[in-house]
Amino acid sequence: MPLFGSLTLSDLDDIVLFAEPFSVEANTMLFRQGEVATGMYFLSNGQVRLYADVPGNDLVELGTVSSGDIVGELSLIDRGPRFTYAVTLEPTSGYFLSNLQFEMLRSSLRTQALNIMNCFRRKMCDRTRSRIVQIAATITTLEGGAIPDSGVQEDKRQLDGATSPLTLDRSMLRSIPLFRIFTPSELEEFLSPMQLWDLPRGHILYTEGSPADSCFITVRGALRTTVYRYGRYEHLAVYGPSRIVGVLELIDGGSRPTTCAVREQTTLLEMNRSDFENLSQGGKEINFKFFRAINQELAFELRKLICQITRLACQGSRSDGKAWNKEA
Amino acid sequence: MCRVVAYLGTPVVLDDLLFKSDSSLMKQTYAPQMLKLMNLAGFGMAAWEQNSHNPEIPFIYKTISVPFFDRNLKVLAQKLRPTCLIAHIRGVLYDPSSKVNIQNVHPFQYEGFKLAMAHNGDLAYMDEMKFELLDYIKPEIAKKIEGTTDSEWMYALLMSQVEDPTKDLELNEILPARESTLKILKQVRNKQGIALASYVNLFLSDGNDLVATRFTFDLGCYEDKIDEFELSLADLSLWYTLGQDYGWHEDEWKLIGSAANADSVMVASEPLSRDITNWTEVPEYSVLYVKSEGNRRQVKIVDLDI
Repeated sequence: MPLFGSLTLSDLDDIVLFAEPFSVEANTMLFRQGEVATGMYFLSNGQVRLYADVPGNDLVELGTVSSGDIVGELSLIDRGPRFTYAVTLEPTSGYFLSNLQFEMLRSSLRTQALNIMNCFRRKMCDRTRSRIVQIAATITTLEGGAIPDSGVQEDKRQLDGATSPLTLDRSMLRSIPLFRIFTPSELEEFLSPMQLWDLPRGHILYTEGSPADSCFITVRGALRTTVYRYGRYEHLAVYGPSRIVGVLELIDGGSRPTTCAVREQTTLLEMNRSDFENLSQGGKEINFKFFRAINQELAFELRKLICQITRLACQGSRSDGKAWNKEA
Repeated sequence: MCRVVAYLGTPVVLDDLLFKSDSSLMKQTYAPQMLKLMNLAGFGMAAWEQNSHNPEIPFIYKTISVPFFDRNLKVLAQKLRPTCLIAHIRGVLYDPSSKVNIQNVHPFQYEGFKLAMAHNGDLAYMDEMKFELLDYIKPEIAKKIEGTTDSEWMYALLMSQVEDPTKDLELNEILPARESTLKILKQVRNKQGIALASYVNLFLSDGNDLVATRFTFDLGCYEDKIDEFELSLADLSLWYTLGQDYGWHEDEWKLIGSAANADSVMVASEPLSRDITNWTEVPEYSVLYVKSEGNRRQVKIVDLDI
């Protein structure tokens, strides 16, 4: 499977040991939207189509997953309910990894397990990028006139320089969920390489297509990501305190998939690429905690994007996310 | 925080919305899905029924008793089939200073005015803002304020932004008035130096139009609210669904018949069913309005750049 191309045979043992073969006929529902996840599927053969329920009893087609790919991993990563229906288009076979087996893999601190989880993480990045492209494609088909401006007036004032996070009030940080996961000494280690910024509303943090050198953690305020096409825009997400922004690009090495602007005056921490890699790849407890926080963030972002696709589809911006009625 | 449901469409049995759905507004009084605690302080509704006498005037019902045990409400809900509704469960701070009385129950609609409004949220330091806000509220409207809620003051402010609140307002009058209201509130907050996030999810209707906002002043900006942030975002979410014939279909409470052919729209602070897959969340900083063309209704969502 291309997904596991970077793994060694020893890494793959964890999956080979735990996963069980499955084989189903065409038109089999692997899982339903809203249900508790029982596991994920590795597809050796066949195709699975993903659908989502939307208002009016309509279904939106979200895409097709083919052999060599995986399906159903999102609900295992963030422990949320199934977000889609998955139906086989043809006889499909492969391996099934149960929720329990996935939890064993996730909670393992062994390098092999971590390498496998890294593959899932990269897959989430791929899926997130495709969903952003899917949303951007709807902009051309939005009916009516363009929405008048970007939603945030750009503020091009010269910024004060970054300061050290050592100045941050630790008790205030402890009130933010992301920082609560660390012990006091881990928190100091986590903060030490970062830079602290205070940014005014309208400041553009980065633009779509630009190279990615760092990611950001919001401490106060709110950021918002947007995609622009043909003088129009679509807002994607709002990031309040405790959210990690711009992390996908550091994982997959691509350019920024969105433009990120300051929606409310924001205090944030900036972490550069090398510090990010050191922190997310080491073998200490702090590394695993950060690794899990990033996975949660990616899963949260992906769910938001899927919501947006279904919303746009039922508002009439169909692109390749077609909406049709279940009763028809 | 409060719980709200608004509806615009074909006649619907009120009982289905208020009592029967598996997460109906009444069930939300003791078991909301997206709120940790509901400190119940009243129930109110404005329901427009086309076949009633003076159909442009809504049927208003308000109580500070526990609505789930209100037999009169249950009996009325089984008879009424409104085409438009705003229903509101009031939640207050768990504090003896909270004022629980009928004047503070939503939705607000002054006599002779067409637009009714309900609010889910909390405007911080309202007592400090009131005197400043009086500059923007018409005296004849200020005189009508009976209660003590931030919500009623916002209603009075909103109504002061339209030329004639007694006439049937069009969307192109309601939307700018709502925007102007939020801008004034922001201006007054800035002048007063109010450093606390404030949530203003508003539900407006006159029986023909439906407008809702999901908006927060200074989202995430202040540390005293950060700890509650995750909770607050969920509390202050806004959801909608659309379609035809709200009822029990395929083992679920939902609207059916396709969004493309929708004749009915429902907007709520949380879905009215345990299965939320037929509902869609409205993004932060947005205004939702219902565009009607004959019997067809579409939901439009636009950004609120305030």
